[in-house]
Amino acid sequence: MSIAIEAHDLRKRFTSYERVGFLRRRRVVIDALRGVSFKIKWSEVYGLLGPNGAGKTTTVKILATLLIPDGGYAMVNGYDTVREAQAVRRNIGLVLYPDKGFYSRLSGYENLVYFGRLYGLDKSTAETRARDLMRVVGLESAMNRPYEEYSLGMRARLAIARALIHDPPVLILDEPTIGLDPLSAREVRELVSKLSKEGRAILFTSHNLWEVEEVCDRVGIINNGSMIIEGPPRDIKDTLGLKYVVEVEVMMNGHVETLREETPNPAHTLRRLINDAEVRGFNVVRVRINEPSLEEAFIRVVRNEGK
Amino acid sequence: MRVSKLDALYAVMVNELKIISREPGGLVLLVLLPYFIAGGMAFIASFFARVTVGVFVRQFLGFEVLMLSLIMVQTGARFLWEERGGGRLEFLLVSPTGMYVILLGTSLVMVLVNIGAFTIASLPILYLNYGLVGMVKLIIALLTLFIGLLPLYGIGLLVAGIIMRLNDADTVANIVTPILTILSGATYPIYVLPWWIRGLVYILPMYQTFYSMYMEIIGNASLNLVINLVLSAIAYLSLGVTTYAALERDFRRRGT
Repeated sequence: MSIAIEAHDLRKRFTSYERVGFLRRRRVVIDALRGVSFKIKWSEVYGLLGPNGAGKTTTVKILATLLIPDGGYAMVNGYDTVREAQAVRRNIGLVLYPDKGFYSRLSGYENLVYFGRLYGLDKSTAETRARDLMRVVGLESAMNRPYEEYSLGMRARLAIARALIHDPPVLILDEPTIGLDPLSAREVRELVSKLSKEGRAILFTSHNLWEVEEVCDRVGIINNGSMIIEGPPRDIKDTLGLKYVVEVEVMMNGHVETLREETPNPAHTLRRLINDAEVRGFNVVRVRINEPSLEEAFIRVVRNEGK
Repeated sequence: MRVSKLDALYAVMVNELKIISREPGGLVLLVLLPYFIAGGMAFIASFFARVTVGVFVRQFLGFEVLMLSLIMVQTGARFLWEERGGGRLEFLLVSPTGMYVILLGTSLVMVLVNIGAFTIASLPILYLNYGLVGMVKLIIALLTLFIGLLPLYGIGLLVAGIIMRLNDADTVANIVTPILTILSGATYPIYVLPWWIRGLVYILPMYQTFYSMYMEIIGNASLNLVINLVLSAIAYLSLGVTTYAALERDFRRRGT
């Protein structure tokens, strides 16, 4: 089976209450998901993007069996997240809050061993896995320090180690790099890429759009509980008609001038600009092609959605 | 390699023991407090000893059952609340180990520590009054106590489910503690109660547990009492497990 995760027409509605007086409160219904569908293949990193409140974490929680959808279904490694929740749990590793979720008085290693045992490993296997993973995530030297003394970056890496403790084929990472310094975030991204090369399917959510572009093979942008657009980052940018910016710096009468043009076909435009410059006898100093970013695509999608 | 539920239960207990013992002064509290409480109970009970030895033993056992009841009913519920605050609950809920095993293991640590303390505190009293036979009877009474803990665990699951549903641990604990204390019937003569409260005392498992233990120790053991306790265990466990399962499902439906 080539599909690792399948979400089909997921719907979820929450009810909350607003205070409207000393004792009175008003019922508020929020449609968190309005029919979200997507599929993730093995060895694929799929990025789920969306502004705050778009429905990313709700989707993640449904896939992780923490939430029961009101409509639609989700399958992980062929198991239904509602009817076969136990089987799904054995197949997933979850990162939900990178900065908490561990026992503060226990060491990172002890925490990993404990969760390993809860996730079905015997004592010696859990200990071996925990030791190996502490090395993989670069926490070997801090493995016996209490969790409460860990920095945010160390906590995030430990959260990923926990997600891997039972060697699950599917990883669900909800904003695993949030709050991390650039170096730690890069390490996490490298680890994610490595894990996908091992054949795992990875769902990755983030607010950091260039990060998603760097790590993910495909991206889905959701807003107001609906999937707006989906595909490889490049295809999304093409679909939205985002243009490249080609810049050619030329030496003109002793000073540098920049010829700039927006285009969907950067190679053709670059050749033309260089030809023009040479025909006019200008020396080309430097050329630059700015690719449209996923951030532009994201902003365009979300703005169009709001109109 | 997949492990059994018993193995997971052991892991939960060891983890809980580590956490408690690493709290500031935790190890001291864990080791010494139960003995202080047991000693305190024995001291209070000794006032009744001026009447008869039987009354002394009765009080002593009554306090033990009451204390274990509070632990059994409240520990799991409070644990759930703390796990939620610490962002750990989600990871326990997505683990293949059921919450029943995790909640039982968490409660059992304090239960075992307290039973140990009470056993050590009561051994000399029973030996002095009933000789070696008294000590053997204590062991049988402790087995009865373990049966009595099962319905209490069932009530504990019910309370844990209610806490998840209401999203409030303190209020529930503040209501449950006095109700359990009053309706235990384990530390005072229940004939002073109005008939309808006495009915509640008979229905709840605390009095049944205490009375079965007491009867065992004074040599009036009755199989009927143990059968009642087993039936009570089945009833309360079924109630606790089904209610908790329904409330946890509701929790997953409303959002964690």
